[in-house]
Amino acid sequence: MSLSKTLLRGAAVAGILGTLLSCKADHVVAPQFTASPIFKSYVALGNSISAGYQSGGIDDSTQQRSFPSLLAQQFGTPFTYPSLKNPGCPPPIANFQTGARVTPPGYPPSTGGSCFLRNAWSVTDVLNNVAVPGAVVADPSSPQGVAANALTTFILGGMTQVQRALVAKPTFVTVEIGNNDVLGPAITGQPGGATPLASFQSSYDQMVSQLLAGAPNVKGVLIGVVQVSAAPVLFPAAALASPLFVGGLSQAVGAPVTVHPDCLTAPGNGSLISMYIIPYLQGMKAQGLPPTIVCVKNDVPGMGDYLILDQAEQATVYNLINSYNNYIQQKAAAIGFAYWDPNAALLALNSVPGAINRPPNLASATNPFGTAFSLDGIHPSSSTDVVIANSLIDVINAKYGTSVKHVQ
Amino acid sequence: MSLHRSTRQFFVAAAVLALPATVSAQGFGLNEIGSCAIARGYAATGAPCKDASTIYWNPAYAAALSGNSLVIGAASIGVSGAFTRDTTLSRYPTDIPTAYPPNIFFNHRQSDDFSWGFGVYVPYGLTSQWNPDFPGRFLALKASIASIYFQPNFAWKINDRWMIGGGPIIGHSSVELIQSLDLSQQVAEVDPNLGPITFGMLGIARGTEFARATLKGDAYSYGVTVGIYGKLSDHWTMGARYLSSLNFNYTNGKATFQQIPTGLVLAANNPLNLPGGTPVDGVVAGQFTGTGALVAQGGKTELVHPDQAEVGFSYDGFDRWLLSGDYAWIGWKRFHALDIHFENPLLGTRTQYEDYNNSSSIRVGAQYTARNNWQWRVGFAGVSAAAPDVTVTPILPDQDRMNYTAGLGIPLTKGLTLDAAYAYVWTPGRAGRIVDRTSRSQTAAQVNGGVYTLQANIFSVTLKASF
Repeated sequence: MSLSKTLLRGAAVAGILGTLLSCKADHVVAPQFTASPIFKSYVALGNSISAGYQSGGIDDSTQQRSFPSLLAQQFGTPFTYPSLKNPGCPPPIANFQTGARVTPPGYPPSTGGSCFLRNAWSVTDVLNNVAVPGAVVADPSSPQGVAANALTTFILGGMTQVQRALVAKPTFVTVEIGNNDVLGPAITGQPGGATPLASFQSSYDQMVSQLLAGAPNVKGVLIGVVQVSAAPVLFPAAALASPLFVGGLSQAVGAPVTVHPDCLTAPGNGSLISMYIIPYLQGMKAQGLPPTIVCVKNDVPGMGDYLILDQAEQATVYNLINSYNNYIQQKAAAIGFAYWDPNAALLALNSVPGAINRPPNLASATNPFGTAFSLDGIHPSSSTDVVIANSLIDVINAKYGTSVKHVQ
Repeated sequence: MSLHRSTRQFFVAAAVLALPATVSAQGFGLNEIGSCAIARGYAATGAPCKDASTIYWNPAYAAALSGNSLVIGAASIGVSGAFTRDTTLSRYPTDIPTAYPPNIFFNHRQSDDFSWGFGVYVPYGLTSQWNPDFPGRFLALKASIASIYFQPNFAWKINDRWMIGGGPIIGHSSVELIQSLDLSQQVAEVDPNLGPITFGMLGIARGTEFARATLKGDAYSYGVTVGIYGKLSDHWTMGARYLSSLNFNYTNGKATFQQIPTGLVLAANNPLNLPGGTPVDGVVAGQFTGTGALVAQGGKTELVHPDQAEVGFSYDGFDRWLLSGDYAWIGWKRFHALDIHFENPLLGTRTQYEDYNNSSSIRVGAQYTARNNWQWRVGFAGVSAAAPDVTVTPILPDQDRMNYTAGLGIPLTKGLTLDAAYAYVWTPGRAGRIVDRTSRSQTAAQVNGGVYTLQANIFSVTLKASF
């Protein structure tokens, strides 16, 4: 046999084999991240606003409409959240006037203590939204929780926010914490209970330090604290000059409400009154006392303080929040993060017709505080979550040179 | 919260132990038996190698061997791969140790028409192993099987053209599974309205490893193999073989459990109604002692190494060339589910749905014998996956495979030959899961969470003596 025939036959064999070898199966490519690399793993830390709390409750629907969820969609990044099974934990208020909450058929009426647990499908190892309603600045780095509630465990399962965030190996974070350090004291008229600035700074620093220790290259935005006095859950005492408004209050309380004259003159008419005055007045009625609103401390002994934020207290709260925000802004600059102060955007809503009802429209069961706020007068509505998300997108694009599109 | 009730008496409803469900899948199936066959793309049923390894590849052809034939060989199988997760895009590489399955064959020609011999080989025996941070460790951190077959063989020449052979199979199989247990999947309590409430529904993250389970067992089983070989013409031959299924009952399994600290601390006002600051590890510690569900206990299961059938043809009409092609079939269709029975009734029986399909492979090879009697070999085998899309797991991320092979045979002395072979195994990658499939209604789209990739480099050497 000649060499040429041998080579020819070898070539034929090689040809047959080559044909077979070329019949490769379709190649399945491992998933790849196609958006901006800094958004590869986005985690939201914070409190109820980041968590998606609305109308005094939280469920899967409100969680999906939270600003971090909206941001993640615009980032084009996967986003897992601790889905709370509808109707929620607790279910959101569905009727402002009756206080009725969403209740599934066959169940007793939902209350503020009802909880329908986590959706089993949402039990994941990586969680991109680790924000916990009610969290104060010390909570994200505190193992036991300072302001811990049932949602702390339902969402974090025994970890801190920072620990849970680091599981996701975050490349980008939003940190929105501090509102609850002053909100409760403000709406109860007891601003002395707010977290002192030094403690706030210490806790904030600890949180950021832990976060950066676990994710040294992480980028993000630190979000300032909302001027909580601007929330429509606090209404101006001057509104009590309106018989219509007082009539609405009386209807809500279930008895005629008496307005002390100090509410109609300075300085009392400059006070802010918490909507939680309604259950307080109901309590007075239950004790056989005439439901009365006093707007100046101790004009009537023992009254005029609780749930009343007078002008001096408003200034205290305002200045404290400014101090918080100055610190947060400095912190952001120090670690190379962007900073966003939410107050300008929220203040701008005042000029949007129907966005904020202050005082609230007590005749409305579904829109008492305006379209910008949910039925608890504290938490943003879904439309305001869009405003927040878009404002953050502007800040992020400016800081990081990205081109994230606005939520439509 | 209205779910305020004591949940201290939680129980572990089902530890997620499972044997390597796909151990006898093609991924764990080994054809690395004889360097000659490997180099020819495993196409060695219609054209067996002229040595005693034919006892495995085609037991009939042993009747064609002369004198005594002794084969001793081993392969080095290095498998590497990774899982890339859809959600985080994180990549988790495998940590699979190199395996060295040996084989020994001996054949003696008793008369012109009859030969006898035996073979000891490992048709199943690989390890699937991942690093401790692999999120799929709750299905398998390590799954290992080693099944060794001892096969006495008898072969007869029926006439000048045809021969038959076969023999019984005595199989021994040992398995080991190391698996993490996920606290989030354990039932904390059963609510009359809401049904079973898992720790995950109370907030414990998926992938909270609170225990590591090790299950070991071994078993014997028996089967049979038969083959036929014939010359169709001066240049064409054909062969076929059948290897029966071996049903291994691992009745002596031993399950042990090690508590793994979670480091979790319950916050105040938690739904378990435990004081704030309570370590979760203390809550579950009782499960590992006394009458707890996770104390050492027995376990048993059953695993079938399925039927195999192979048919092949060869042609040697080109001077110094031998061309061969085989078709192989493995009856995986009968592998529907795997039941693991635990001694402790709290763990009960655990079922994994497999729903495998029969698998096929096409093998082709070529051998050129040079004038100095060196034999150069090349081959290819394409293998279809047995696992359906919904059963691609870390225990076995089964997928279609392409085997590219080459090798040579070097005559050392008149009766002594050294064979060497190399095979590269390429896979296209396949979507798979790292979570349990709890119901047959769950589809691949619902449970798959990433892409598995695998490849392997195989080296084999065999020393052959004829005397």
